[in-house]
Amino acid sequence: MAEIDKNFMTTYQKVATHDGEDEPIQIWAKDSDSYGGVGTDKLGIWGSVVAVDFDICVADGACIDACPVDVFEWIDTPEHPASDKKAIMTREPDCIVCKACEEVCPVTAVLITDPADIGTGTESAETVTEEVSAEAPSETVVEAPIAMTSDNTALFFHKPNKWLNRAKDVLNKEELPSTGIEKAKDMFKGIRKQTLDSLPRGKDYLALVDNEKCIGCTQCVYFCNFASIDMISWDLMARTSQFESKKALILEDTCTGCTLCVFACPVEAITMEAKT
Amino acid sequence: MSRTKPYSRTIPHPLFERLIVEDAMKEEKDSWKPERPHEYGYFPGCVDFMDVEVKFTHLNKGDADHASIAAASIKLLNYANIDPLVLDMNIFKCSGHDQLWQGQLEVFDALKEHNLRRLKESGIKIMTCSCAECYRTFAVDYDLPNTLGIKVEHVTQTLQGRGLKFKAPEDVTVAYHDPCRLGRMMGEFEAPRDLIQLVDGAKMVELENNKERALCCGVSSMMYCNDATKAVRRKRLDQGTDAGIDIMLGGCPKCYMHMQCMLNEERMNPEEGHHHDYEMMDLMQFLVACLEEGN
Repeated sequence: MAEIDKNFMTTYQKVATHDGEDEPIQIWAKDSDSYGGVGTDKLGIWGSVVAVDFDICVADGACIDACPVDVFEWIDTPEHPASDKKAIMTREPDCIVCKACEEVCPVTAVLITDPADIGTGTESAETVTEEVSAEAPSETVVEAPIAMTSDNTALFFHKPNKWLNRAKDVLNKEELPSTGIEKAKDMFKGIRKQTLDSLPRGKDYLALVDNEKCIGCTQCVYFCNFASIDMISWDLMARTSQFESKKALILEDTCTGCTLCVFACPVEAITMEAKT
Repeated sequence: MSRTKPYSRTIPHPLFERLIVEDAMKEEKDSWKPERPHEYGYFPGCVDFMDVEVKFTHLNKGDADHASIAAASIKLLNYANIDPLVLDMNIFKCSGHDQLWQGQLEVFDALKEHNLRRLKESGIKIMTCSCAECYRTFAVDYDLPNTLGIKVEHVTQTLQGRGLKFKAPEDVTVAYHDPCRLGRMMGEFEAPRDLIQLVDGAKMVELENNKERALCCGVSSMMYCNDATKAVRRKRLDQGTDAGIDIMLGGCPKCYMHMQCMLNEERMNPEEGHHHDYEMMDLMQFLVACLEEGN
């Protein structure tokens, strides 16, 4: 199945813009011929930080449900073969790069790029960086921790597992019977949506850890895109029935209420609470 | 589904756990027939589901690849001139090992009923699994040899003694980590070691604790990962460093998952000072990497 081109910022051209709430939305296409405007069957990729390939989008609304900060809205696109409405990123500058929409999209039409990563090298992307940095001051609190996370990631991928890659190379060469992974993907998407619907989320909410339940597995720390979870050692004083000395602590300053840690927690120790 | 379900002291991941339960409780009455008769059936187990799970939850930063264990097993069975019927999750359901050991007997019985019915319809004579937990569950808890007359094998036992040849792309020192279900419960220590010995260029060393006295990966049936279990796992990984290995091989996808998770955690927190300079892999993945060109 087709999916969004991950290098669209270098291989695609900027063809038009569309009005957003605060900032205009950039529209990308392979060349000016492959964009026909709203009302035709050629729509291209919309948005930069939040990019949606409108030619793939099937308008099932998963991203609209998943977004904790309401970036998306519906836009009518009559005459398009995939669907007659699309999810438009009207409030793109609000994006907190939690990538929830990327994960729920059933057709992989969404690609989120961290504003800090846009504009490494290519000329065409530099203008985008300027656009983004114009609204950067309000996000300075968020950006420093993000840099810290990517440092960790660089360290993590320092030594690629060449043996696993060899195995994958051998397996990629030939066609083997599928073993139910497509079914698993669909089921995960369904159950994830169900859980998202049952959780309050957004800027007015904050994740809270129940120390009695926390087993210190650190999954939420890896999952958080804002480095707003820390493992705190409480020594023997706070040892609970779970035999664990370290507990997760959510930093209120940077928590955006995106609910991703709630998904990561294996013992349901994290709940979403309204900010007071 | 309610999120207030009391989980007592288990550590099933909410999504993964609920997915298996939801799948188990969905009754399927329609009959199924394989396209052609097979002697061997291969049960991949929940590796695909685990693969999607680790990607969805960013566990292991997407580094672990469980689906390749199933693909590698099928490839190796084909290499040994066996044409297995793939008993995948589209037709079968999870073997229910974790549910049984967590005490969710109702879910286990539902899974068992469905799988037994499908096994009768499949008409296979020998069932082979790449997962040590599935192997134990089918052989002991389903009691397939006595109820349906189906012989249950671990994939290493199926591949053993078939004159396979492997060649490592470079010299490598490996050690085999005995999974509890395959080794200490089912008493199979030699088949995986025999397979490793077939690899030209791979030197096999034994870890300090091996065979009957092997150490655990720390987590059984996805229950309860904490300081204590991590200490067990770190002790096992330290033995690998002491033996000077390049790769630790396991016969169970769960061992692979837990060990790799620990290695990744250590690499992300270098300030804690624990580091093991080798990788964990499933035996099937290693053997596929050692297949010679043209096979």
